[in-house]
Formats: sequence, structure tokens, C-alpha cells
Amino acid sequence: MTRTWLRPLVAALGALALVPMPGCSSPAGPPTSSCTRQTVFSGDPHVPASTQVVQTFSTPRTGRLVVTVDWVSTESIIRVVLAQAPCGPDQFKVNGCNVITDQVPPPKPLTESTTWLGPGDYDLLLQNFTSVDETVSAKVILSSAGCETP
Amino acid sequence: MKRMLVVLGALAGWPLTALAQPADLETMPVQSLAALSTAERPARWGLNATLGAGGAYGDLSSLLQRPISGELSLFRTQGPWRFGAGINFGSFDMRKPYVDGLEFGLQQDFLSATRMLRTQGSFRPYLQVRGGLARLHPRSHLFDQRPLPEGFVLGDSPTRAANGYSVGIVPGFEWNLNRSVALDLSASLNYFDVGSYDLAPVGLSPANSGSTFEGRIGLRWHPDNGYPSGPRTSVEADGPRDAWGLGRNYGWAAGEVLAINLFAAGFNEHSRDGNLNQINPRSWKANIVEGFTYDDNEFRTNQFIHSYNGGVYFNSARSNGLGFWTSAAYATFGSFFWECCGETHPMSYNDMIATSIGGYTLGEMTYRLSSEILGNHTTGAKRVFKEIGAFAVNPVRGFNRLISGRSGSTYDSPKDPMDWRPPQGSTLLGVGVRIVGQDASGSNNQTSHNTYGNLILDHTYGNPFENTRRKPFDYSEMTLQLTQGEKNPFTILRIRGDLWEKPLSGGDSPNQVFAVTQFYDYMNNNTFEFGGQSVAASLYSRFWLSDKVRLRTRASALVLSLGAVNSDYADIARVADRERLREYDYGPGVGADTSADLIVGGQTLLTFGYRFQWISVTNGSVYSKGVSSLGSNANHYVQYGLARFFIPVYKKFGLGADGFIFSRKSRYSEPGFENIDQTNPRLRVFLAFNSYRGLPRRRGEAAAEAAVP
Repeated sequence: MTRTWLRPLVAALGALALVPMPGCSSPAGPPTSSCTRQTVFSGDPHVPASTQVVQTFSTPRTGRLVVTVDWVSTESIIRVVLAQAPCGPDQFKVNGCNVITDQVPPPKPLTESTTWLGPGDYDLLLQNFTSVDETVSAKVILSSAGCETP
Repeated sequence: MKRMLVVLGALAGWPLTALAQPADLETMPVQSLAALSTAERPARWGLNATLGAGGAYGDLSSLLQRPISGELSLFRTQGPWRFGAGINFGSFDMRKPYVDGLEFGLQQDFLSATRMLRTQGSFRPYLQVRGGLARLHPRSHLFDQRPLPEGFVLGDSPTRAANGYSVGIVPGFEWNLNRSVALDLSASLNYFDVGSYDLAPVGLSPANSGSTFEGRIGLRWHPDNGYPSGPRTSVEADGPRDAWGLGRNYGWAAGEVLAINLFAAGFNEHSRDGNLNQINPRSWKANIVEGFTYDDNEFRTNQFIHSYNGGVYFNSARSNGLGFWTSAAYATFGSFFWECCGETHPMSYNDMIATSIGGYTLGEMTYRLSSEILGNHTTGAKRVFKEIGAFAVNPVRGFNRLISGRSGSTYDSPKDPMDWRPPQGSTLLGVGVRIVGQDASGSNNQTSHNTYGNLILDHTYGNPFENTRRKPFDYSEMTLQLTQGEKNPFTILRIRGDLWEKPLSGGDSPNQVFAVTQFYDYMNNNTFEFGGQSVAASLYSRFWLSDKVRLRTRASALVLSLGAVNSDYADIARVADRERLREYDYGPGVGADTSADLIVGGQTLLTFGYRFQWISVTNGSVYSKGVSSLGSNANHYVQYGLARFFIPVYKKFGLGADGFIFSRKSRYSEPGFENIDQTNPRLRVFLAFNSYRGLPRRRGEAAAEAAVP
């Protein structure tokens, strides 16, 4: 039996051999920088019962955020939503926000680290589900691209 | 790169030579063809499923690396050639330091031509050329658009997708494992260009193209070795056939389930700019590792559309000659496959239950309905309308009849009427108005005393007392309501089907029957939402009040596998990859459902129904401090009742009206969560066609008939 199938197979393998040629090689990757950690938001907002407040902050560069939120009463239920700004309570209610993280306790305090985020404005929604007013302590730290962990 | 494109272009023209070449089969001796026609007919259709991994090159490899892909393609054999179409779900990791970020999806929808370089023997090398659409779509929030697109809602993809083209060549070989299945080993060289993509968030210049080189492993499968669901032919090997004359084709059924899932996922990526459609082997692995959770889709999506999809999987099997329980297993398999691999969001318990249990319930009901419509012996326009009607009710069955040639052939319908049109049954079709009210304590009520146009369809298949056979769903009931002006026109779908029956009194016309009944409930309107899948122990009874008047009752004790009801604090539910704020709770429970019908002659004139349902919340308005927000310290107590009368006016036409009331008592143990009571009355008035098919025999009549010589 003549192996007529060998010719196209050899041609295909020849084409595959073009892969590592110049022009098909990989360019340099993303630039890296040293590790810096910067507090981009810190505050103690008052959150009345059964309401939500919004805290806006900016990140100057690409990185990962660590959001830490605590409150006074162990009986309180505080929801913490990190979203791309603008994201007001009304917009959130009608599913109009680009939500990045959405946390409810436990635990208390709530701590959440995000995936990689681009520079820009972000909103922190603090929602008090309970019938007593709360004072919330919130802090957001930005870890730069050079940091191995957030 | 140019040289590579020239080579790829030349290879793309190569399949055109197929038209000028004789097919291998055409050169086969007549004796060989005869042997094939009786024992081993050549397969016409095939599926390829492969996984691949390799390296990335070109502009976009400044950020993207380590491509991996999963692929499904469908092809048709023509001599030594295979022509097909497929979808490749690929993805890339980002390079350091973003390597732990979510991947970039690369979906390629392609047409392919494959030259089998040998068509005989176990070892079959081949060469494939392909080309089509390419769509690069990042999942990482790094590339979220700023500002977001106009009209953005949660669940949309916040990142921009880039569209372009791709071309590739795939040399490989198949190693036949048996008559239908072959191991497929191949390599792929692929080039894609999607236009300029902004990589500024990672400090890189825009890039527009790339190439990948992957080693691949997969399976080639000819599920139609024997042809799918075709009319019985003289050369076809004899084997088990269902009542409609279909041989069992497990392979084609499984292939359809896979194809429906993956082609639907691929279509979704183009048609709906969602954040859940960029599926690829990385998302498949992540979903399986993460396991099951709950999701937050719309009530209609979770409680009806998923069940409808499950019905499609079910009927992929049912319309390929497989039985009820085997088809139910296909619905479960299809559901799991969609959950793990059809979307990037985590698998959810609620989808699994709604798609598998809801799927076989809805699927068998649509199978029975389409059977009642079909008539294999009819011809002409009547036949066309029957086929179209059955297709509308059960699309996958209609599709299989179409491609197998059954939709145009004249042959016998099932011999047993229980497989086609049972002698007993009823239909009530009503058109009228629906008036909805609310009380002051309703929490989610948006409307007050609204009046809507309304269509009702109540249909029963068989009769628990008179049926000559007692297979699953030989007795089943369906209630459907379409309403104008509601948030969704499809406001009620309730299905009850007996999985198992046992007559409790003697003879073939008993007055008491015990049954295990499958319930599917879906009620979705502006004032309340309620749905779920339950299994019940049911007792049917009938009482003869006179020769023509009888009372039929049913009492069912239900175990609800997972129910959903509108709630007040459900948006606190812990849900991964939030798509929206959910307004209903999920949980199991127990309950009771009863009904009573007064039947005079051939029409049901009075109907009463009552349902009680307890739902113990497992995801939604619950909060268990120190343990998990997936606690269960919230309970819903749902009740609803219905009373209906019908006045015959002319033959089977008449005037009907019914009153309905829905009540929900929600109890939340968390101090800050107020308990809520909701009550909604509803009134319907309608003109109706009301038909009761097949008059039942009184107890003892059957024995008397048997005694007559």
C-alpha cells in the first residue's frame, strides 16, 4: 500500500515548524515595580438602622485591595459591598452596579482581599440590616503589582 | 507570520479538491458495500471532543500565556473527507505578576475540513484546516470598562470583548477503540486576530493578534452508528424499540445533550454580554473544585427556564428510544454538565434540582403532549400542522423526527393508546380576565386590584382509576396560565405526574388508588413567587353520588426537595459571583396538597384545591451568627386555596369562574428582621371549552362486562 497520506502530513508538520520563527516569538511581559502598600481609604462612618451609606475612594495604580470593616455591636449585621464607582444605594438596589466583592458576616470584623483591579474610583457600600444605628470602622489598603500577596 | 498565513491559506483551499476526488466508498467492491449495509453501515455523523494545552506567541503574548482549550465539533463524513463545525473554548493565563488573576477567554467558532489520510484500519492519520470567528473576552476586573457601558446591569460583563477571526491547521491521528469511538491525538497551530485590545491597565501597548500551539487529546465518536431515530428499515438490525418504533440510541442522545449545552454556551457568549459565558477548561476545573452553592438568578430563570432546559435534555433521550428513568438520568447528566461547564459561575444546588427533577417532570409532560398531537398515519396539510405543533411543544423531539425522516414518513402510530392518546383525559381551555388584590400587610406587593387578560389551560392525561397501564406519568395533570400585563406573561405552570400507582380496591376500575406523585410548581406574578419540586404520597378516591355524578378527591403528603418563595430579606443571601439581588428564599420542606372535583356526565363543574407548604430556609433571609450565613433560622408557611365552578352553556362550551387566595407567613428569628404576613386574593372569570374524554365505568361494571359471553 502506498502511503500517499505522508505528503500532506509532512507539509503540516512543516507548517508547525514555523511556530518558533522570529515574528512568532513572545514579546516582553508586563513591567513590574517594587512592592508598595498604601491606605486609600480610612474612616468611621455612621450607618443608621436599616440604611446604607456609600464611601468613595480612588486608587492611583493597578493593584489589589484589602478591605477591613468592623462595627460596634456583635448583634448588628453589616453588609460590605465594594463596587466600581459610581454605585449609589438606589443603583445598587436595581442591580445597576459593577459589584467586585459582597460580604456579610460572619466573621466580625470582615476582611476581604480583591483580585487585580485597575486604577480608578471605587465605592464602599455599608448596609446596616438591623434596627439600631451603628458606627463602622472601614479601611482599604492598596497593594501594588510588585507585592506577591495583597 | 506572513509565511505562516500563506501556508494556512494554501491549506484552506485544499478541501476544494474533495469534489474532484473519488470517495473511498465509491471504489469499494459491491460485496463490501452489501456487507456494510447489513452489518456495519458507515456512520454519517460524528462528534469530536478534545482538550488541548500549549504555548502562546505573537503580540498578545506580551500578556497572555499558557493557552488551554476544550472543543466540541460536529461533522459529517463524505468519503475520506469530514466537513464540520465546532466551538473551541480556550483561555489564557496572564503573565507575571498577574498570573493569579482570572483568565482571558478565547472562543473560536469554526468551520472545518478534515482529510482522513487513511480510511481503513485502526490507525487513521488526518489533517484538518479550519477557520472562523474568534472572540477574546477577559474575565479579570483589571479590564473593567470605565465608564461602564450604557444600561449596564449586574450580571453583564464589565469587560470589553474583542471580535475577529482565526485560522488553523490540525494534524493528528485517530486510534479506533471500537466501532463508534476513537482516541484522537493531534496538534494545533492557530492564528487569531481580534483587532486592537487596550492593555494599559497592565502597562503594555495595545495588541491585536496571537498564535497558539497546542497538543491535544480527545475522542472521536460516531453516535449514529445505526442511524439516529430513523424509520424502521429492512436492513436495520432488529433490537428493542419503543412504542413509536424507535431503536435505543444512547450515543445520539448523549451527543445531543452535550451539543445543546456547549452550542448554547457558545451562542450565549455572542448573544448575551454576560459575565458567565467565557467558559473554558480553567472555569470547568474551578467550578468542580468549588462545588455547589446557591445562585441568584431571576425566579423565572431558576424555576422555569432551567426546568425547561432539563426537559430538553430529557427529551434528547426520550426521543431517541429511551425510557422514562433512563431519560431522567440524561436530564441529571445534562444538568450537571451545564452547571460545571456551561457557565463560569459556580455550580448551584438549586439549578441541579430544578433542571434534573423539574426537567424530567416538564420533559415527560411535553413528551406526552407531543404524542397526543402527533399522528404517524396522517398525510398532507394535517400532517404538517401536527408536526409543527409537536415541534413547538417538544422541539428536540421535533428536531429528531425531522433529521431522521420520521416527520415526513407514513407509518403506524403506537398500538397502545396509553402511548399516544389515552382513552381517558380532560382539557379545559379558558379565556377571560384575572383580577388580583392585596391586603395591607403585603411586603412585596407592587400592585393593587389589577385586572389582566388571562388564558388558562388545564389538561389531564389518563385517569388513575381507569388506566389500563400504570407507567410513570400514565396519569398526569398540567395547569398553565398566561397573563397579559404581568412582569412575565407565563404566570403559572403546575405539573403532577404519578411515578408509581397501586390500586387499593379490586377490579380494573378501582375507586381508590395510592400513588407516588411528582409535583412541579411554578407561580410567578407581580404579587408573589412560589415554586419547587416535590414528591408526594397521594391517595385518589372517587365516590359515585348517582349514575352520572361523582366526586373525585386527591390527598397528597409532600416532601419538597427545594422550594422557592418570595421573601423580604433574601438579598442578604451569600451568593458567589453575584448577578443580581435575589428576592426569594430557597429551602426544603414538607406540605400537603388536596383537591376535589365534582364531575357531572362528561364535565367537571366544581373544583376545590388547597395547599400548605412549609419551607425551611437554607439560602436567603437567614443569618446564623458565628456559623455561617447559610443557616436555617427562617421559615415560610405558604398556603393557597382555589374554588372554581363551571356552567355549561352550549355542548362543551360554558362560563367559569374561580377564586384563589395566596398566603405567606414568614418568620425570621433574627431580632432585626420583622416577621411578614402576606395575603393576596385573586379572581378569574372566563369563557371555556371543557371536555372530559372517556366516560368512566362504575365499580363492578368491568366485572359484569367480563361475565357477558
